[in-house]
Amino acid sequence: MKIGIYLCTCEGEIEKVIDIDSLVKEASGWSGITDVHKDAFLCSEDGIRKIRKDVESSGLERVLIAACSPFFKMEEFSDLGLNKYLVERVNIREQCSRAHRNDPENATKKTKAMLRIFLEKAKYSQPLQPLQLPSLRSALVIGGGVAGINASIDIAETGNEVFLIEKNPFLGGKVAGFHKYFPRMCPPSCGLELMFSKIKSNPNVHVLTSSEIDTISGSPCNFEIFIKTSPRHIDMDKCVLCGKCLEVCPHNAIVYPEGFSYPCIPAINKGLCAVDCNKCVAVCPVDAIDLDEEGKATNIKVGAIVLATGWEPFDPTPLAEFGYGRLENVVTNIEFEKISKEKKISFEEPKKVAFIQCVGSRDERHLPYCSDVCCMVSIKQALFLKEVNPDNEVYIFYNDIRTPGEYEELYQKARRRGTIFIKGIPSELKQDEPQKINFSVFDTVAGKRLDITTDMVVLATGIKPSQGTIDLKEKIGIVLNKNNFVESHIQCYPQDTQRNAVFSAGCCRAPMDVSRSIESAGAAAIKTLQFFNNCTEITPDNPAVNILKCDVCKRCIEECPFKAYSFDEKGFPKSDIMKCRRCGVCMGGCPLAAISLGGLSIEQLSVMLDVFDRSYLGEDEPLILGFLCKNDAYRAVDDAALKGITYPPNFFGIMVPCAGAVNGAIIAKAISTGIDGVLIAGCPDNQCHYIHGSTLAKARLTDISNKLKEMYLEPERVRFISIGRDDPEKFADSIEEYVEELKKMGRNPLRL
Amino acid sequence: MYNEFFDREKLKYCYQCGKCSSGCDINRIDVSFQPHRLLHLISIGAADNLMEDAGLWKCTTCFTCSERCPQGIKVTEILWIARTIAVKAGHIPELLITQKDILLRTGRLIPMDNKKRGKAGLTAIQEESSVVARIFEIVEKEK
Repeated sequence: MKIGIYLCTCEGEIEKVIDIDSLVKEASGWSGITDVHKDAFLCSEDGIRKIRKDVESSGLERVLIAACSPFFKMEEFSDLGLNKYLVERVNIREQCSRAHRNDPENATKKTKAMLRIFLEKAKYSQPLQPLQLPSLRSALVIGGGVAGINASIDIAETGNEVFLIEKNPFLGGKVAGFHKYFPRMCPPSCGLELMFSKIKSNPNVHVLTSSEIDTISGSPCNFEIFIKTSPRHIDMDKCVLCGKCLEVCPHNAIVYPEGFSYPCIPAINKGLCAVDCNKCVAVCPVDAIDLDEEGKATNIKVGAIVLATGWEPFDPTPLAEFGYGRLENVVTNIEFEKISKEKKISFEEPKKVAFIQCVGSRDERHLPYCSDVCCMVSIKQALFLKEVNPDNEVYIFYNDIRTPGEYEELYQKARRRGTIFIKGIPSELKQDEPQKINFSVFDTVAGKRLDITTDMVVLATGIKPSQGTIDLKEKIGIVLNKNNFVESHIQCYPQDTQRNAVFSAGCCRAPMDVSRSIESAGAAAIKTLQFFNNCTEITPDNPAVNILKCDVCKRCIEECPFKAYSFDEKGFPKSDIMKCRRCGVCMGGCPLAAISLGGLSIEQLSVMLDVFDRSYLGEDEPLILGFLCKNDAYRAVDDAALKGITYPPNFFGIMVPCAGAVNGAIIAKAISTGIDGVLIAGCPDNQCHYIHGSTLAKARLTDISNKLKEMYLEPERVRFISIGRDDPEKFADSIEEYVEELKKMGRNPLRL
Repeated sequence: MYNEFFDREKLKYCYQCGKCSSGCDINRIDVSFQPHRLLHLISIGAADNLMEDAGLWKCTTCFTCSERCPQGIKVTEILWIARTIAVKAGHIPELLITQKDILLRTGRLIPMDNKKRGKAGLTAIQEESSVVARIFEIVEKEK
């Protein structure tokens, strides 16, 4: 094989510590090495040009770049005239010349060992070519509330197809039922009408109401969705909205739209009909009603999915002390919206209304979190009461008033208009006389007890995830957090869902107001478009299972943080090229070491260990082989160099995608062939970029400990540490300690 | 001092909603007894004078506060422990000392007037001081 090695001195800096010239001389003598060159500025245009020339003229099949960390100058070294998987970056600056600047002799020895190892790795690299895997440029948006509607519009208006599926006969979700929404106190008809007109006029949007998802199969770029649609019983093309069916229906079986609704056609709930009633059929002037209409099953194919399944209101019945369902005129905030919208009660004759905040929220027995909007909702409703008649008496009993940003203005306005805010929650509500509610509450600020009688009590109840969201756990395999909201995990990617090509918007992710829901829908739409655009070429470096070794123990299927594995036609596990995020947790967990990533195989790691010079620092110095996760640990170790932190050259690091990618067989091989210590370094708990890779790596050490004990070796030779991105000191200290402890333990007796 | 007796961690969850004081029947009659205030003082470590507070002894242990607390704080238990601490430091209401004496002497908290009972046609009630002494003996041994 023709291999070229290029050693950079980084304008002489690396050369101050490492004797590059001697390495050039030595490496030239190694078999298979065609060219060995030293350069002062390898990443310069000249430097790159030189390499490209050599690749062409010498027909180089592999190139080693011994220079700075692989995280620097990625662009410069990306196009050297051969497949990028055949180019190996050897980190002789950050993790050698800088890290061991106080020990040039040993730094040089370590560099030689690094070159040998990565040379061997390069020999086994495969020239992976990207595959053409364009995505279907269509999205499924699940949920037709304000978030789903906006996500659909945003995706459609950039020229992509959208299927918007909604289980109710009308779009609009909860907002359609509100009286007004804050902060501008608009009626929902105003905002929603504009949104609906955009949907109506855009042929890219296909709306499926009265529809639910049956099953979802396939994978990102190509999902297949089976949908069940319930019959509306009213022909959307014929109905003229005369309203006669509604007049004659004796069973309230007809759901009638409002002026702004979409689709603006009524729907019949046949379950509520009486047998053989048919009054609506008889009275319809255009014969639009078909009570025998059957449901439909359809299937669609989409490239990506946006979850917008929204929320449900919390039912305060379990908080029996508040008498919901038992006492008259005790209502929830959602019910109050309806009451004020439908003018069921006239607040023009002054009434006394008390709002009780946090009913069931911030409560460890019910919803432990804060529902974000209830303070604003009560203030909105208080302002409404004061506007209808300033003589309406309004009390708000609160724990904390949460009106962030400019919503503070509305809080001030409510106070100015005479709303009385009392910090203290009543313990129970009573009804000593009909139509009135009375209670006794301790005002914690005044230090006084207040006895209050009101005409109505509004319980400010919170937002909980909808059943639709919970059902999706089974149907799509998404992850829900402990409160059953969609888990996005990383705070930097709030619209992601830990599943490729599946994004989330609105309250299914967390309680939020209308404004934030719409924003989050925009974010999800952008992510969807990015997915479509980035999906044209995918490199098949996802893990491959060696079916000759595999015994279908299914560990890979279970441990994959992204549920990317399924069974192939032969019954062996196979990773989906689109669902997989190349973390390697499967490779690390396979008890038979039968899985390898495309860019890093078990075989490669094995031959790297074969050529690793276990005495590169001499006979007396212990050696630690480190597997550093590329997201946190490797970066932290690089950072040590930038901060001038040094650590012993006894440590030799290899980058892995995740600490969870390190297979026990490799660790066992390392120890049983004489390496004194093995370190696995991963992200701190809760910060693993692959969810539980780090945790698994730690847990697997128990097995490895046992194996070592069976070999009569000290289990402390193998250890796991969490290194945060900003923890280089912790790393350096632990290496110093580790080397000392290994010296005390003595050399690995298996070192020959 | 409170740390030795119970986990102050749970108290940190209290966000002073005041439901305990709102529902307290004693607070209804005597507004100076405010369980939420006592919890706050204990939580921030400013409860040194609490031991002398007569309010500690007003709690009837009806458990309404503990039932309604949204953070599941065992208010009743905390006040009970506060009483234990107060007693260990020598603060105990006179009435309770009297009651203790009556208990030890007669086995009951309220003295029985057998003469009056006889006049009303009721049988006499024995003083059970020996039984009470035996109970305390066993308790001492168990310690």
